[in-house]
Amino acid sequence: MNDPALTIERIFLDAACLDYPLTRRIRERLSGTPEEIVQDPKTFLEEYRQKRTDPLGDGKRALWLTRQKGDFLKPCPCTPHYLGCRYVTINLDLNCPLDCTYCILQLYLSNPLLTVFVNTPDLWLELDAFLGRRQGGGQVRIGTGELGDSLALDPITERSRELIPYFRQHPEALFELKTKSTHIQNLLTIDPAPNIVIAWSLNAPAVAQEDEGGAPPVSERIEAARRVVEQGFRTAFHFDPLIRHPGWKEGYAGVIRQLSARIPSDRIAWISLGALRFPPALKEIMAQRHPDSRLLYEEFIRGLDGKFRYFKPHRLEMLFFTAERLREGLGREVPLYLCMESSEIWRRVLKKEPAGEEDIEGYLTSPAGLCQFT
Amino acid sequence: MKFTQIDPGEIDLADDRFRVSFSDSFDELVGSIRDLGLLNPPVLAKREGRLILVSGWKRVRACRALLLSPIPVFVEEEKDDLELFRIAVYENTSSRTLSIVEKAGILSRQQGFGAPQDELIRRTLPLLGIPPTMEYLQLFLSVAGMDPEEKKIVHEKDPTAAVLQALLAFSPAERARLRPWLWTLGQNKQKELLNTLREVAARESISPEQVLAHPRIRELVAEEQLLPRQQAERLLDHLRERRNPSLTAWSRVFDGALQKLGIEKGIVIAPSPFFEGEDLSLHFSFRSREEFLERLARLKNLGDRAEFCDLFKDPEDE
Ligand code: SF4
Repeated sequence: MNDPALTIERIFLDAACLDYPLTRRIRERLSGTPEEIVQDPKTFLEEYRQKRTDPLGDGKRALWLTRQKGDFLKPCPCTPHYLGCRYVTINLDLNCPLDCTYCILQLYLSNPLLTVFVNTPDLWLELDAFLGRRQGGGQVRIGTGELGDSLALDPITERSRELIPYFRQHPEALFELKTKSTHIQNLLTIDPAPNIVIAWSLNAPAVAQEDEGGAPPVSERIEAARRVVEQGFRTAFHFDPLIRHPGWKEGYAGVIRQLSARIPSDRIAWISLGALRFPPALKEIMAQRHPDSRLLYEEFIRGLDGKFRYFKPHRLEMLFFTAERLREGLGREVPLYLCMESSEIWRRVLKKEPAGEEDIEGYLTSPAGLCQFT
Repeated sequence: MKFTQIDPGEIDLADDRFRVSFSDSFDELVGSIRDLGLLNPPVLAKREGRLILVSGWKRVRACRALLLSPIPVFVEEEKDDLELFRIAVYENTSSRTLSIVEKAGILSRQQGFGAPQDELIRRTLPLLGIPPTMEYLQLFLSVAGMDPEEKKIVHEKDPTAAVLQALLAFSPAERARLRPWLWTLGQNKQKELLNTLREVAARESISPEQVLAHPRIRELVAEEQLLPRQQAERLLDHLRERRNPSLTAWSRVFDGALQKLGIEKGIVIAPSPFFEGEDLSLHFSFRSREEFLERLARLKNLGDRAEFCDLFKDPEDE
């Protein structure tokens, strides 16, 4: 995977954000990259989008340093009619330099630039208040990889060097960094903590190659995971989205074999499984931006939430197959969970039927091996 | 701009560089000009000694038809083509709703007159009621490049941008082949037909032309008693089945199981949409307590039959 310092062609700076330490740090790391100071962010963003044929593609090579004006923390929206897990997301950065065909951000974000919210002091205040309110309420799962990749920009933002020490002081949170990248150089200089989880999204090699533009091969992601485990961190994996493609069974089985051979199962906090799903409007964007992707022509139905999903029997087959291979390879103690699925699918795939979201949250925050549904 | 009177025969109508209107019909104007006279003088420009029209095509042709002469006109002698065309555009957009083809024509001519892309996106697109993005600009410029026959149909049908986008994914020859069916459908189905055809072709790794050469499609086209709209609906059904083979197979198995049960009219048993949920649903109506109890008894009989369990079978387990 490319160093983001090499792929960023231009930095746009919100004039109101020049004095933040993070702005200064990034400018230092990217010194020599052309810069532009923006006085009127609204017009700037509007024009950036309007004047380009592929603003999303161009935006992946342009950095926008600005302030988070809303809340950094949001409950993970999950999807209506399916089971969620009460995850809390920290929206620190928007967008990511990778270009996955199925990336939901292509639809969700109106701002196409790689956006870094530099007002970190406000983040700490918000986190303090949030965690303070949760005192005695059990461990909360919280992570940054929802609206971007947690580590793809870490070489220039060095966020991990601030976030991990912060959460080390807050065992009431189980903090997850979620990535497809291999930018672990900062992590290897930081002391681990039991409540910090470094997670990788994994996929079959053919999917990684064809649908995860710019992402490193899966074997390199597993190797990065091995190194952070060696450093003492716990890790997690997300087989999400599972994608049907010729040879998918062997593709996923092969990745699981690599994973089992290189990562001790007692260092895995959880593994999630989710079959590809997306809102219908994303399909039109995919058709324009990735017209050759086979995903456009898969057999999907409209799920209860209105999103396109694989036809249930196909989904069941994929989820069941992958879950079984994971259990064979890593044992039954590693907590597996399904992302955005119904209780029927939980029952049929994992032979468990959570009573609700609280149950899933409890299952994922309890120490591995002790997980049981109520 | 100079105000004057001229004979409409002096205007060189062959030079239509500023013409915005796609339609030729001016009948509706003839009556009003006959009764009230020409209230809004056309705008002309001088080019190489000739008088050409900037705006007022229908008015001038109506005046010619009525043999009116002289007529009042404005003559603009100084502005360049781009400035004059902007006048024509403002006149048209303020007085009537333009079709997609007319909007496309405006954008492509304005581009031809040297308007910078930024002006087209930021000024002209919003003026025409189109979202100001490069993507839309390119879409409309592609419409301007269609052949005259296709433009005529698009002008008449005035499809949505989504339909246009789907349509332009096909070659001109493929679009011509779809013409007899496509435009008989409503806009949602137009889009569905186009997208489904493209997706079936991609799934089966053949060209859209080859998809349409399927014997079933030839059969339904050969059924002459069907109206084009009915043919189009059948074509769409056929494409949906090819697009979603597993769902189609499941639906057939379920329908077969229902048929075996011989469920009487007035009782409807259905799977959840797309078989996504586990539940089946039952619907029946009744007009009296007696009818209600009688229906319940019949349903109970239905439930007692061994074949009833087939409704819950997973077709792939067979
Ligand atoms: S890595 Fe994640 S955020 Fe980045 S493009 Fe892929 S799906 Fe989107």
